[in-house]
Amino acid sequence: MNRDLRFLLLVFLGLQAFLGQACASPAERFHQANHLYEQGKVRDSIPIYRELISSNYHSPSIHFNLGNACLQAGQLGNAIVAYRHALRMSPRDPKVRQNLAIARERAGQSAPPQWKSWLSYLSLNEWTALAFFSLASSCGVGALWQLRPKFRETLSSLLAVSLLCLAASTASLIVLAQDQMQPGFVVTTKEISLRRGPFDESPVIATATDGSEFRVTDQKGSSSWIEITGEKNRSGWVQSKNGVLLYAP
Amino acid sequence: MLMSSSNPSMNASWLARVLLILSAALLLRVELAAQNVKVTATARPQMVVVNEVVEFIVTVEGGAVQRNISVPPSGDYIVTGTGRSSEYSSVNGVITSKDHHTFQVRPIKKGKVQLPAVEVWVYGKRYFTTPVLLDVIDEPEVTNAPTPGTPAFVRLLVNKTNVYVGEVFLVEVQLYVLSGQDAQYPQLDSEGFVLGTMQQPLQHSVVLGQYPYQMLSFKSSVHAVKAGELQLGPATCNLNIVVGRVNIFGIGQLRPTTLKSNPIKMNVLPLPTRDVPPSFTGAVGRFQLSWSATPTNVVVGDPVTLSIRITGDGPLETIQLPPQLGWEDFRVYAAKATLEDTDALKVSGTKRFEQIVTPLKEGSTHLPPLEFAYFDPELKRYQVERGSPIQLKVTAPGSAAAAPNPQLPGVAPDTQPAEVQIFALKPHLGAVGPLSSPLLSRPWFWILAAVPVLLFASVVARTKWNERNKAGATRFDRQRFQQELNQHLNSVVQAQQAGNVAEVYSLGFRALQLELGALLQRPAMSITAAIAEEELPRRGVSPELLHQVQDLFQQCDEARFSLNQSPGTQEEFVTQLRSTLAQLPTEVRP
Repeated sequence: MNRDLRFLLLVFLGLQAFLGQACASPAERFHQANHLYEQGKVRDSIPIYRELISSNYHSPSIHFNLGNACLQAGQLGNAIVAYRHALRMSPRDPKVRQNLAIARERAGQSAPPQWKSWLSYLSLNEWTALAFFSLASSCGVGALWQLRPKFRETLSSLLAVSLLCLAASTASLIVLAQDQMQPGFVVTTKEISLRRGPFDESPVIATATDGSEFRVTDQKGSSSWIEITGEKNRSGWVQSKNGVLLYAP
Repeated sequence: MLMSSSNPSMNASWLARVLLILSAALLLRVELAAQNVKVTATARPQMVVVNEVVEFIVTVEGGAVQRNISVPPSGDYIVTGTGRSSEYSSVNGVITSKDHHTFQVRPIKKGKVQLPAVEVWVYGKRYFTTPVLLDVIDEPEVTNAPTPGTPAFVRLLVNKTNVYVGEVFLVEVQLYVLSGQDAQYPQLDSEGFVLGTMQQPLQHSVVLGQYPYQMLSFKSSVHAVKAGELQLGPATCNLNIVVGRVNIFGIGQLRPTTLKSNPIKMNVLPLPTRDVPPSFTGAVGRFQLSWSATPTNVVVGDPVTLSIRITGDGPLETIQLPPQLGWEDFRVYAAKATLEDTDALKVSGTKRFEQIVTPLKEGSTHLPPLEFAYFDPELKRYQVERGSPIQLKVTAPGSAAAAPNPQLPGVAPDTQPAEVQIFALKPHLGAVGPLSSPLLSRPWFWILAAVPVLLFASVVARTKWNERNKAGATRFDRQRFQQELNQHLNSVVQAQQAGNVAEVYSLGFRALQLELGALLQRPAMSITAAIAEEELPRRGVSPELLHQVQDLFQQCDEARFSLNQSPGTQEEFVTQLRSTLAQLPTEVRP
């Protein structure tokens, strides 16, 4: 009787623990991961952040904290990926920018050009919205120009400004969309070999270390071989398992 | 008189005073001299092969030794002989003396052998030397061992052959010269290793197989940068060896020679990849962390100087302060690092970091914990040193208090990401949701984006449509006008056939007015020859046509005053009128 009771109690406690774990809200899990991080158990906090993300819970804070944990754990590539996700969601957050810059510097990556940095102060959607409103205002002023010839002198400067805004925002949008919607690749293993062709037997033409960032320029059918190009046109074929593929959100 | 009548008791007192002063002066001299006494102990070389002799020298400076000096016996070494020498020097008229007591010590055990503190009595005071540590190693594997009497040879020694990546060990190149000169600094083949700065060589005499060699010892620190079975050395050294007979001046024939030592096989182990502390930045060795902060009672924005000292054995020059967590309530400036109390090879001592932080929030709090992790090659595991907590009281700034971002003299805010602490965790989850695709990839956005374009296009289309309609109406009016004009011309022809001269020119004048009025957009009644002359050239009418128009107006004027126009003239008038009216619409610009 006593043994049965103990067994039942154990089962009950186990179930409670399991259900408690399973039913923990994202906020609780997030808090739990943060707590582990602050205790110095950064490696234990990483799976919890990842679990939140894989459960389709995304917020700049989750990605930022995951980036911090990876950075502290020496996983530079994973940290850069996490910070890049956080930056896409929160492009003007100076903390994300700062930590991403630190991660990139530790990985030996050069900082992106200044103009790119300025462009990324607005997210892709924000640039899209800006371009849309510029288009709408240009069309509106243009329509007035057509309908009210008497006000053409007054409208001419307004039309010029609208068209200028439209041209600038559209150009920025195109550049940013090309940059962000093209798949990227970040190395997450210690070192990878870039090969001349998509085969293990192809000669190695360069190596890349953890945290190196590339653009994906080609893929060999449905295989895991991808062609990547990075700084100074360093390119080669690698297996995608050696890093993280960044697709357009 | 007074002098001669001196009494004996006074003389005794005088003598006693003199003696007292003299003894006081003597004591003072002894005391002053005792203050300048220095007793030191050194060993040459400090790294030695087991059973080889080391010179252990106790130097007494500024005083005479009163009792015999002896090295305490130990099971780790045997004292095989002693010697003594003195050295005098005069600097700015001050003569100093040094007594060197040399002991031939032969270590008989491998490993770290300590030559203990030696007791020295000078001016009745007892002094102790500091203990000296010897690295006693096995005889290195030498493929071509030099035979006794070889004019010169080089030997390469290391204090350990099993090391971890990044672990500092000592390397010594020993150049033994029996008959040679002009020795150059040795070169060491060190692929896979990083050599520290090579020290100035130490020279002393060594007897090997009854041959008195001069030994030059070159020391350096080394650490490996990659794991695996690596080879250190060989060390090569260039010098001139004396060959042949030495002449009466003691000069022989010199032959340039390159000596090469044996290489050493090093087993370099990688650092463990498991349980690496987050604050580990690559330090390998043994260290202790201590820190202090001043001041600890500050106003928000005031600088607090953290003095962080990392003391121990390891590559002190390359040690970095790890990025610290939990400093988001402080602005952290770049740390200044200095080496303190290090040995000659800079592998033992203290590295001091001076870090300035400024609190951004008020309140009584502890400074965030400070951590420094290193790998201990003796324990073969990572160790984490943590600074003890420091209480900090931060008060709100007053009206004239410092701004939150004061310009600290000589310290620029750290803008280099590598030196800046990373921003700490975000405590709030914020809005959570699935990742949404960009607007550009959503069809409804393109439909929405098309709306203003379509609206604009519709406005343009409508305007154009209106313009076209207006042009159509004008065309329609023109057709109706042309019909009227034709009817008018027919009336002119009928009047001409009826012989009604006045009617011909009157109707012709009217037709001309109508046409020009329509083309110049003026009332037909207002059209005169003068207006036609003025307006038609502006509207692009050729001079020939203008002349015809003027001629027609003139004929009409003439006919009004003289009605005796011949039928031929009337006919010509009608023909000219028809032709002019037909040409005018083609030449007059709107």
